[in-house]
Amino acid sequence: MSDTIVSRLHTLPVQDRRLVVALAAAALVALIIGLTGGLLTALVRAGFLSVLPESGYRFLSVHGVSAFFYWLYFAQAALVLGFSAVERGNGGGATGLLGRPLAGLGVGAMVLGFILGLAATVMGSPPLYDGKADLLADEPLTVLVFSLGYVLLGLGLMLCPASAIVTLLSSLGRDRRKVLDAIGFALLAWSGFLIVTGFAAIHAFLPALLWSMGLAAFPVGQETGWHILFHNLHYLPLMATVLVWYILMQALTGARSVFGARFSKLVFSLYLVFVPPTSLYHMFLDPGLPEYVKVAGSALSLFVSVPTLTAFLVIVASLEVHARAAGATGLFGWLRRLPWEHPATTAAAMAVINMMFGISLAFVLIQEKLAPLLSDTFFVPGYFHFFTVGTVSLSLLAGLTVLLPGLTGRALRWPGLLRALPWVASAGLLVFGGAGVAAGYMGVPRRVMDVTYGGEAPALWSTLMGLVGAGGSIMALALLAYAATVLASIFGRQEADRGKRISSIHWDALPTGRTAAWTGPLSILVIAIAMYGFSTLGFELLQAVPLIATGAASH
Amino acid sequence: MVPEKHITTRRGFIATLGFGGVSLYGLWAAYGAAPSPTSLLTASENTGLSGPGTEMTMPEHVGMGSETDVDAFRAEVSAFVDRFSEPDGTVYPRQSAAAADPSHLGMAEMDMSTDTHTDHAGESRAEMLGAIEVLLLAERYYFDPSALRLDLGQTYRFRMLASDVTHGASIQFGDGARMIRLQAGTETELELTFTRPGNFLVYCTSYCGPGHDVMQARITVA
Repeated sequence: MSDTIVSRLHTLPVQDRRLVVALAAAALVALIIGLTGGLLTALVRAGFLSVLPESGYRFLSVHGVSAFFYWLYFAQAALVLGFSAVERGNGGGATGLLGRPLAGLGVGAMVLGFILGLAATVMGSPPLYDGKADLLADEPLTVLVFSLGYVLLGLGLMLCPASAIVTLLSSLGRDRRKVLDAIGFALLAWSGFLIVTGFAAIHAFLPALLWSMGLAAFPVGQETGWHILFHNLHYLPLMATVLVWYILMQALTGARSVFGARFSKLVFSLYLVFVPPTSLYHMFLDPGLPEYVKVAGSALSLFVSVPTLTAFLVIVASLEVHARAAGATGLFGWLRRLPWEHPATTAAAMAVINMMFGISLAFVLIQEKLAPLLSDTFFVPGYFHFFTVGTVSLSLLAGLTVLLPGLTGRALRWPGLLRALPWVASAGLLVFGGAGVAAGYMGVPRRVMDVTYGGEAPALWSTLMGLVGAGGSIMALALLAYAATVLASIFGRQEADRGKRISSIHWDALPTGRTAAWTGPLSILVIAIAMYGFSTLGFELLQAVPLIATGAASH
Repeated sequence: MVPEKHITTRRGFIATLGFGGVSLYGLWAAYGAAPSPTSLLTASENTGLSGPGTEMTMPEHVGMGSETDVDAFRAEVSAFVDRFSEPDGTVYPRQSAAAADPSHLGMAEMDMSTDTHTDHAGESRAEMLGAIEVLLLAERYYFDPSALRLDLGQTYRFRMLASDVTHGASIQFGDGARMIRLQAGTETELELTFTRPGNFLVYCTSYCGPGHDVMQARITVA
C-alpha cells in the first residue's frame, strides 16, 4: 500500500482523531439542522406549508446560520486539521497535531457559537444569517446572543488553523523536507485564509456585540464589515473545494498533477491574488457607489474565477492523462476508468458539474449594469446554491467520506446509497436553481415568503416558487440522507480493512509522452458558451424593461 | 521536432484557459455595459448601456453622503400627497402652472450647481427640465404614497427615502423588474420614464422585518 495523505490517517494520536471526528460530527449535525431549516423554508415559499411569514423567516434564519456558516466552517476546520496532522508525517516523520490545546479551544468556541447562533434564531425577531443590528435595534439581547455566536466562530476560525499552521511548519527543517509539497502548501494557504475569515467575522460582529452590552455606540458601519466577511464566505470554500478535489485525486487514484507541484502551488496562490480585489460587485445596488467604482468592480470581478478554473483544469487534465496511459480510449472514455465504487467519486464529479453551472451564472451577477435587474432577486439564491450546495457541500462531504473512515477505522455505511444520493441532490438542485434563476430574471425577490403580493404579482411567480420548493425539497432530503449516513458511519461497528486501498485504481506512475487531455478545454468552452448565453439573456431582458432610469444618486 | 507534451497538457495553455472568463468583457463592451478597449485608452467615453433599460449616470448637481432630515422629508411627502391626491385614492403628480411657463424663473434659480432637494425652487427646476418630482417614503411596512398614477413617456424625478431601515422600492414589469435599494436615512434620487402603460407592482426587496412580505405599492401608467 503506497503512502498517501489518507493512508496515514490511522497513524494519528487518538486525541487528534477524537478532536477531528468531533468537529466533523458537529459539521454534519449543523448540516442536518441547516437542511431541515432549508427544507421548511422551501416548502413555505412554495406555498406547500402554510405558516406566518415570521415562522418562514425563522426557518430561513436557522438554514442560513447552520448551513451557510457553521456547516461550512466546521467541515473546513475538520478537514484542515485532519489533513494537516497527517501531512506533517509526509516524508517519514511523526504525524499529529501540534498546538492541540489551541485547536481544542477553537473547536469549543465554535460549538458554543453554534449553540448561541441557533438560540438567537428563536429568541426574538428572525435575524436571518446576517443579524443586521438595525433590524434588531429594539432587541439588544438577541443582538448580543447572535453576535457573540459569530465572534466565537471567528475566534475558533483563528485558533484551529493556527494549530494547523504550527503543525505544517514543524514538518520543515534541516533534517526533514525543505519545502512543503502542493498539498501541504495548499493546507497552509487554506489555514491562512480561515484565519482571515475569522478576523473578518470578529471585525463585523464585535461592534454590535459591544453595543448590545452597552459598551459602544450603535454599529452604523456593520454593513461594510459584513460585505468583507461575506466575500470571504463566498470564495474561501471554493479553495477548500479544489484542495479536496486535489487530495481525492491522489487518495482515490494515486494520480499526481502532470503539471508539477510548483504549478499547483502557484494556482493555489492565485486565490490570494484574485479573491480580495473582486468584492465590489456585492454593493452594485448601493445608490451611493460612484459609477467609476462600479465599472472597475465589474472588470476586476472577471478574474474571480481564474484560480478555480485553473485548478479544475489541472485536476481534470491530470486524471485524463493518467487514465489514457492506463488504456482509456475515446473522448470521454477515460471517465469510466475513475474509481466510481467509492462514494467520494460521485460526489466530487457532481460537484464539478454543478460548479460549471455556478460559474456560468456567477458571471451574470458581476456585471454592474445587470445589478438593477437581478440583485436582491431570487437569481442570487438560485445561482449560489450551485456553489454552496452543489459544489462546496458535495465536495466537503466527499472529503469527509475519506477522512472519517481513515480516522475511525470504520467503513462507510450503505456506500451504494451514498453513490446515488449526489445524483438525486443535483437533480433537485437543477430544478431549484433553474426555476430560481428564471424567477430572478422575472424579478421575484429573495427573502420573501409569500410572493403573491395579494394577487398583484404575476401568477408565474408562484409557479416558479412551486418548482423551487419541489426541487429544494428533493435536494434537501437527498443531502439529509447523505449527512445522516456519514454521521451514522462514525458510530457504526463495521470495521474497515486498514490494509486495503480505498479504491481499485493505482495510477502511481507519472505518465510520459504526448497524451492529449481535451475534457478540460471542452469544459471551459461549455462554460464560456453558457456564461455568454446567460449574460446575453440578462442584457436583452434589461433592454426590454419599459423604463428609462437615469441619475442614481443618494444624498 | 515534436514537442514533448501535447498542447492540452502544457502549463501555458492551462493557465491561459483559466482566464477564459475574462473574455466576457467583449460581450459587455458590445452591449455598451463596459468601456470598449479603445475608450479605455482615451479614457473619455461614457459607459452607459444603450437602449431603454438603464442609463446610469451620476448627475453633477446632487450632493453625496449627507444624512437626510427624516421628519422634514416626511412633511414634504405629506404635502405632496395632499397636493396631488385624486378621488380614487391615487396620487397623480402633474406639472405646476408655474413650471409650464419657465420665463418666471430667475437666473439664481437656474444655477444647476446648487443642491436642491427640499425646496420648491428645486421642484420647479426639475419641472423646468421636463421632470416632475415624485416623493416616496419607505417605512416598515408601507410606502407613502401607496398608489401613484403617472403619465406614459413623462420623466419623473423620484426622491425616495427609507426612514428607518434599508428597504427596496423595486418595480415589477411582468417579464422583468427594476431593482431599487434605499439605504436608511439617505435620500435616493432617480429619474424614471415609463415607456409602456400598465399597472406595476412596487415592492420592498430588502428584508426589513417580519412584515416585509406585505410592503407593497402600485404605479399605474397611462
